[in-house]
Amino acid sequence: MPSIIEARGLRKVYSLGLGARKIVALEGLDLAVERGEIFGLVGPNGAGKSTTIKLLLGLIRPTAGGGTVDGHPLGSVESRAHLGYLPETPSLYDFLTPIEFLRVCGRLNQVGGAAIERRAEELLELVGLGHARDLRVRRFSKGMVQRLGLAQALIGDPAVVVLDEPMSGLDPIGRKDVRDVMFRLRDEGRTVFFSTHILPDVEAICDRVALVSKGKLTDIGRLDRLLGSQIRAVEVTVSGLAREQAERIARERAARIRGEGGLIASFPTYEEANRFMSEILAAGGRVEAVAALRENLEELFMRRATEAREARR
Amino acid sequence: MRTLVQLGTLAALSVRELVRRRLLYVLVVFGAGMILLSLPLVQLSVGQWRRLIVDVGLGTANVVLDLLAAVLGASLIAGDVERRSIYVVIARPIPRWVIVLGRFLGLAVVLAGLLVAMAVGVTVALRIVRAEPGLGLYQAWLGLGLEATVVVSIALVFSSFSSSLLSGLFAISLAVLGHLVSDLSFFSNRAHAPVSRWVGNAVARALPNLEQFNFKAVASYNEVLARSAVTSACWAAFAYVALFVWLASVIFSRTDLK
Ligand SMILES: Nc1ncnc2c1ncn2[C@@H]1O[C@H](COP(=O)(O)OP(=O)(O)OP(=O)(O)O)[C@@H](O)[C@H]1O
Ligand SMILES: [Mg+2]
Repeated sequence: MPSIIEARGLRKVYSLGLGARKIVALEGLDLAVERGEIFGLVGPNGAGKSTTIKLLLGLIRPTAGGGTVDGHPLGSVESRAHLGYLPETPSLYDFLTPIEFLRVCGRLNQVGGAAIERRAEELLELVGLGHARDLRVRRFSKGMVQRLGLAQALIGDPAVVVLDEPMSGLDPIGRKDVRDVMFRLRDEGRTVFFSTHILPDVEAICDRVALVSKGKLTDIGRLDRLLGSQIRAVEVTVSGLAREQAERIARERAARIRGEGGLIASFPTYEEANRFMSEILAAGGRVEAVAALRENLEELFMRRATEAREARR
Repeated sequence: MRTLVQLGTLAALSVRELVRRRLLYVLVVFGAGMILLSLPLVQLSVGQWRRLIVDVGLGTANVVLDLLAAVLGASLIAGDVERRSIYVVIARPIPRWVIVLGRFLGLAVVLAGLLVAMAVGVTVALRIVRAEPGLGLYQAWLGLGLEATVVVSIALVFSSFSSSLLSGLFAISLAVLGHLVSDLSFFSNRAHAPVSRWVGNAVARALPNLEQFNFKAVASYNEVLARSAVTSACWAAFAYVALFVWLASVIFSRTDLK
């Protein structure tokens, strides 16, 4: 089956004012999201995440390039037939109550009359707004608006859900709720495409990620592959040495003392770590743990951001 | 069928949104105040009472309806874009012309309700002074409604690409100019330079002629307009509305909602 979201060479140039300055928000983005996965779009502020999402939804038109959602070209009515969207800091019709708002959204999505009522109630419970069903949205807190925004994205029983920073404005409980909703959506066979710069969320949730920086895609793939390609260090924890032995080795190897006669040392390669371990064993010590430290997402993120900054100079 | 449900939903949403607008009530109170204030100022005989009430009522209603049509029409799409509440609508499987038409219908319904209320008010006032409203008065009300509907569609055109403030100003300007079309062509035909004659006529032709919906004088003199005149006014209004709603839809479909 073809990918549910595809972008080819997506480019967007914003022009400010009449023929004045131009901002290249996105330059030639290629992307494919498969059915049933949770896909994270990650990048620093101003990287072009929201621009990408707005292009996918047909809210703005690409300067060049194109793509499809569910096999239909971007911007077509059909491409949005099975799509749910949560905008960045959503603005909802605040003169309605959440139930009324969901009803409007459901009708616009062609959900039948009886199904709307049932789904609206279910969704309010799902996003934890059951207690606020009769309160006008005007009186909502930021987090409550965000939750209702998520509910309206789901009212049309979408096959693909596009969420622009779904965790923003939420407390830790809310973040966990949203995470659980995203897992649940995937378990129901839906595709979840979301943007974020909260890296622990990405590591906890995503099947695959795309890193964007300054309008360009820098990395795309499974998180373990992206991060697994580079070992940053091998860390060895040993114990059972005599105290002065441990202190001597700590000095020689720039290792840290750990407890009585114990050490933690890290090495750039496995070979050096192996040599160290033979030495310890020969000296009568024990190896307690060996850990390969890989680059984490935050370090990759920082590295890409620095590269982008230097490339601009 | 699916489009009809979406149209109805958007029209109903617009009505709910509009009846919350304070401007609506400010202008209605202003209109009622005008009529009430004008009454004690004059000492008149019975026949003149009728004319006073009809003139003040229709004149005030004309201004109130056109102002509301321009300002509210301008705010409907542009305001939605400015607040970014349009995102959750656009992201659904809806063609953009349905949004434009739905918004148009919503405002048309609100203005129609308002017009009926004002017409009832004027009729009651006439009954109080024992004067007959007459068929011409109802024709004049219809004309006001047609005119306001055209102004709404003009406002939507501006609203589809400009800010709500600018669109409101443009729409009000066009509504005023639309009443001066015949003056404009009168004076430009009298101009000496052929260029100004040509430009003046071109502008006069391009502007929507709103005077063709003005039956106030007929009502004022308690006359009746020929049915054919009323019918042709209806067709003209329909043509304008179709043209402007189509234009607004085309422009709106090409606008980036960023
Ligand atoms: N309406 C607009 N007009 C002009 N420039 C814009 C507009 N919207 C975005 N940009 C520019 O495009 C670039 C990408 O913006 P975008 O909103 O896509 O970033 P983002 O990755 O979503 O950032 P954030 O994490 O802060 O939400 C930025 O440089 C921004 O200044
Ligand atoms: Mg963003």
